[in-house]
Amino acid sequence: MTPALKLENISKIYPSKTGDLLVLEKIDVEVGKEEFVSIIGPSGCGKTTLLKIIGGILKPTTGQVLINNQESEKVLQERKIGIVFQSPVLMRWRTAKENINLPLELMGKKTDVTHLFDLIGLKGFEESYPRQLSGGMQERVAIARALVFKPSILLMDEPFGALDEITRHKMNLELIDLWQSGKTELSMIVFVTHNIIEAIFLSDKIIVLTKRPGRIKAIVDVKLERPRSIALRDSREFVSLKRELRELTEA
Amino acid sequence: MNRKYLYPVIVFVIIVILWEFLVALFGIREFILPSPSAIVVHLIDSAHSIAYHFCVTMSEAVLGFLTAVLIGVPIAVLFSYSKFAEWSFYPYIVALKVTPIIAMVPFLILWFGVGPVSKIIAAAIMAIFPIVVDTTRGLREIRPECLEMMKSFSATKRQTFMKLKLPNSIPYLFSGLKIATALSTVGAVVAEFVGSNEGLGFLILTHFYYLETATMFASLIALSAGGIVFFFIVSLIESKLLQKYGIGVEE
Repeated sequence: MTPALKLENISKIYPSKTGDLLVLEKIDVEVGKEEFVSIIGPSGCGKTTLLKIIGGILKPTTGQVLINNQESEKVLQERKIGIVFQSPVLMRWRTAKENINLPLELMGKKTDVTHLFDLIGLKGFEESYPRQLSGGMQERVAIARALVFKPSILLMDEPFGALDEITRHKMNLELIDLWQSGKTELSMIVFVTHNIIEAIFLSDKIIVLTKRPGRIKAIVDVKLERPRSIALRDSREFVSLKRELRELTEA
Repeated sequence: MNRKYLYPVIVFVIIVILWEFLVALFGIREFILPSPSAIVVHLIDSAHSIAYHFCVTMSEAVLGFLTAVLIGVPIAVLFSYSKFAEWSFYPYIVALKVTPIIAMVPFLILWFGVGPVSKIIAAAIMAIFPIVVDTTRGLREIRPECLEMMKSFSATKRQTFMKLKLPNSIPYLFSGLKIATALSTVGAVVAEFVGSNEGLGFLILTHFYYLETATMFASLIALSAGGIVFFFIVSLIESKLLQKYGIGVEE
């Protein structure tokens, strides 16, 4: 079986005046279809850089990313990849609906996006401007915008990192529902986080990176049953995975 | 009425009453300092002539302002894309700004005559600096994440400019335009002082030779009023536009 996502010998060097900065070193990973993958590691380990390389918006210094045997830059141009950034990056002069419509506009398409407001639970806020929405709501708009052109891969860079614990928790539940519901065309989600609980709860596979330069420390398979619900967090398997990951990230 | 507008009116009334009273109290002669009532009398007496010269000066200022916009905005677009262009031409824009306009006007009159053209060019020279500087800043000051977001949707350069950079620069453009309104009026009047046969600058200078101080004051008041109205018209367009696109309007 060919892997849906294959990272081959990815390294990234940022040149600078004080000497080249090695951010990522020799990343090799294979991910199967229908997998939810998390990338976890200490801050500054190159998680975000890796995600941008996977998404084809940043070139690796060495190596290549293959998505269904195609280069990721090409896959991006075919609009098969949706990216949710660390902050919502909404345009403040556009309403929620206009923000969600942006990718379609760029493609020269006109599609009704009202159903997406149901999906992300923002019905009634179509005409609101970003400044009128809470952080969690803005994040939902950003997710809807990444989904509007029906990509098959969704990349998320600590999307809930700026939210309070309660909202983050709620967004986790909604994201997992979205993933499990089959209402989207998604066949893979790659999720960057530094929150262990979030990573275990959402993922099928967790890639643990080392401190800078980011190397693969471990790849942990999460064999928890799906659909998952909140009760899972108290199960013995969950707790032991949590311990395993904590030891991996602390060591 | 809004208190914000009431207070300056109260200040104005107090100053006028005090002025009238002190002129009468000390018996100051009219050619040194005319009383407000004398100014009003002269304003009404020569209303026709002041109105004519007012129109001359203000149309010079407005045309100079528009010329500066037409030339300045494309320069800003060029600068925002090319550091090379900015390095090459920015020093000359600064030179235009720091060289006193009054020293440049004799050349303008020599080349373009005593008519309105030299005044329009003087007004444009004064107005172009803030327009170029602020618009360039607005086109450039875009969070890198926003550009990555556009890239993730495979936006073309043109789309990135039209949908992201241009709307982002609007508030900056207007802060430049508001300063430019005042500067273009200054440019026009200064040029009239150096050499002209019409306009409020010409009127003030002519009455100065005859020590008709009250008419000088009347012309000065017309000039201030024109400048204020010009500024408020641009501010009004700004707030309408920002309101329409929801940019930076406080709740």
